Amino acid sequence: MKPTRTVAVVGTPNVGKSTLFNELTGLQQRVGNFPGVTVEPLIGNVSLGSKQIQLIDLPGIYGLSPASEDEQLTCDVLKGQHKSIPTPDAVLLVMNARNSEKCLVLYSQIAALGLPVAIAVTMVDSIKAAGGAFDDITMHHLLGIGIFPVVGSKGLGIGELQQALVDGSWNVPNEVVAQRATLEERFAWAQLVIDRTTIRGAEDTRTVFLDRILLHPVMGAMVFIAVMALFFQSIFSWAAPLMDGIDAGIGLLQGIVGQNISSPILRSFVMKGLIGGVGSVIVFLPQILILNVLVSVLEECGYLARAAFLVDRAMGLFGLQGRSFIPLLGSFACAIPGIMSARIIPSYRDRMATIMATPLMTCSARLPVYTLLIGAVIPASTVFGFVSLQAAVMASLYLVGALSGLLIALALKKTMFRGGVIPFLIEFPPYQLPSIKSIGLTMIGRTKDFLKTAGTVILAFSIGLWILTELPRANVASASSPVEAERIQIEQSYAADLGKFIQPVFAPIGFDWRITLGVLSSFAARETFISAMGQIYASDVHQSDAPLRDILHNELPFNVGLSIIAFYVYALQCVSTMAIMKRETGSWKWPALAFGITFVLAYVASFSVYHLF
Amino acid sequence: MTLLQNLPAGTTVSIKKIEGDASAVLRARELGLIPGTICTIVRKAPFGGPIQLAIGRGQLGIRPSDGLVISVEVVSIVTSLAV
Repeated sequence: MKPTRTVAVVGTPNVGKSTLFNELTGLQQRVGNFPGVTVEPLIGNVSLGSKQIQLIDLPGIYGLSPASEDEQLTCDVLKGQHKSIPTPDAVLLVMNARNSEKCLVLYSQIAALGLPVAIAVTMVDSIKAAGGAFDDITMHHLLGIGIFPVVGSKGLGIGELQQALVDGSWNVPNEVVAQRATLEERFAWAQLVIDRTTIRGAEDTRTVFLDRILLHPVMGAMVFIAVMALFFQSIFSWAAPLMDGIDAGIGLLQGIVGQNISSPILRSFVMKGLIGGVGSVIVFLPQILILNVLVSVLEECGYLARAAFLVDRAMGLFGLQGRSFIPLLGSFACAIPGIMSARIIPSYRDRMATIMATPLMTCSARLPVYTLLIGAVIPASTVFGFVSLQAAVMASLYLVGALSGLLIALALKKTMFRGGVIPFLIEFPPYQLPSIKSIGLTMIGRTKDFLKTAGTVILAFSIGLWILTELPRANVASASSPVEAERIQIEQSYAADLGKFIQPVFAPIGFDWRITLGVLSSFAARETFISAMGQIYASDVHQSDAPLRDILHNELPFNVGLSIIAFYVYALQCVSTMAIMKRETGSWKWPALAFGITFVLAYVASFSVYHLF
Repeated sequence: MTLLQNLPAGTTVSIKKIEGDASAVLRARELGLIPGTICTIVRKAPFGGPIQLAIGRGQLGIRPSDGLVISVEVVSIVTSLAV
């Protein structure tokens, strides 16, 4: 069954548009795949009986003069000027009954497009609860189009709206104000319509009360810190069992494959290139999902806008605005969900500066590397009698990373992204309970999205790395153990040749060819460094039976160890991050620039550390 | 006429003029900050942080800067409103 027509869902931000879209389409939605579009709108189907129509969820706008890339997309599609997204057959405008001036101002512009329009009015339950009223019939007579009161989170009025969507005999509205009307005139018209259709009811006392606490200079800051602590805690602790589960599942799969494929080269390709490479990224799926659930909950309940208000001043020191802190915070788990959540920043320049800072936040993949190297090179002593030196070094690495990332953002804002800044300007939505169904559907969408990237770009990269590390096949017949065989294979691979070839580049910062090889092999994912070092130093481990940490403790001079740590603080050794960066920014220019900046910083930092100690 | 950020929380003001970066001015106007609008400064974040404004039934967070200069006229001051 092919959709007979396409209806664009449009509205100002914070009107409950995504909740309504989720209610209307349920599981029948996907990320729209249009060439040359970085902001990918969601597409969903509505089918009733034998009829089916298609909905396209466009980013929120306030008017037809766009301020951001997201808004540009919506405006282009509505005006029929978009290169790859066809002009919709009709527009469904979503309006918030409690705060409808801005929605009506937007309507006054959309009415002039010449497309059939209908309005879905949300929050009609909340206006009734406040003792007010909304008169949809009078609005229908004033505007001459279909008006559909709905309660998105409870599913009320959804059936009628779906029926109207598939029936599709919508009116093209008359222009309500002159084409060239000023915003003042549009607001005045909106006020007339509201006066005749709406009794607003009592003030939203819950929002006033919660704002008094959550935006209080002291109490608000304490709640903010508690929320952030919970955020961190959940990303790390709650995700851990799930990640272990996925890890075990991947191991199991590799085991089954290992037993059933006899050809060594094919076995290695499937186990390491396909399952291992993609698996090492899929492991982060729980963290990505938890982070996204938390961000969605905070956003839907209205706290995110307040949190942005609270941190705006501090972010301003680094040339960023309040909204940037969510992607940066998320990047402490993994830069991938962090970069994906940068979509909430409306200003293109701020979004780019934020995305460029994300790879420097200490992600969880760096943690095992830090643990190994700190254990190997930093003495297990205490300073000031009670502070563990190792823990202090670990904490300072987090701090140095975060500060450097913010300074990079500042430098970019002062140079490349100079001028045309959108000052902090945000609407505070009323506090409300999030819709579980809507969040669930968003999660399913994000999972599909992420798995698609993992299955395409990241798969291609991991195959490339497999070719480098596993070819040409070495003769491992003489090897005494599987670990020994791995070592022989890696020492004779293209990667080893490459390691030896480019080792002179790393010589000034103290890396020998073995460390160079470890660093190179960790480009798939940083934690691979540990298994790579395990393989490279396999013969030592095998002979002395000591853990890798102690081997490295004996093999690595103090300054070389510090030099490696400094390198990992800065270097963007993560092809998945670069792939996501490319996807979110639409160009290889940005990942390449991020790689360049971080590589130079990593090199300078390692060089300084190597020569200072 | 005075600048929005120079007034204490609890002040009700009438918007007189909005100047600065074209896109910022447009966004502010779309959010309802147009000359003649009456709004109230609900609270101000410390250290020159953003300002919470009540306009009609909506609430806005806004940080006046070089890119967004908002001139207002004081309508009335209600000191007990703010916390």
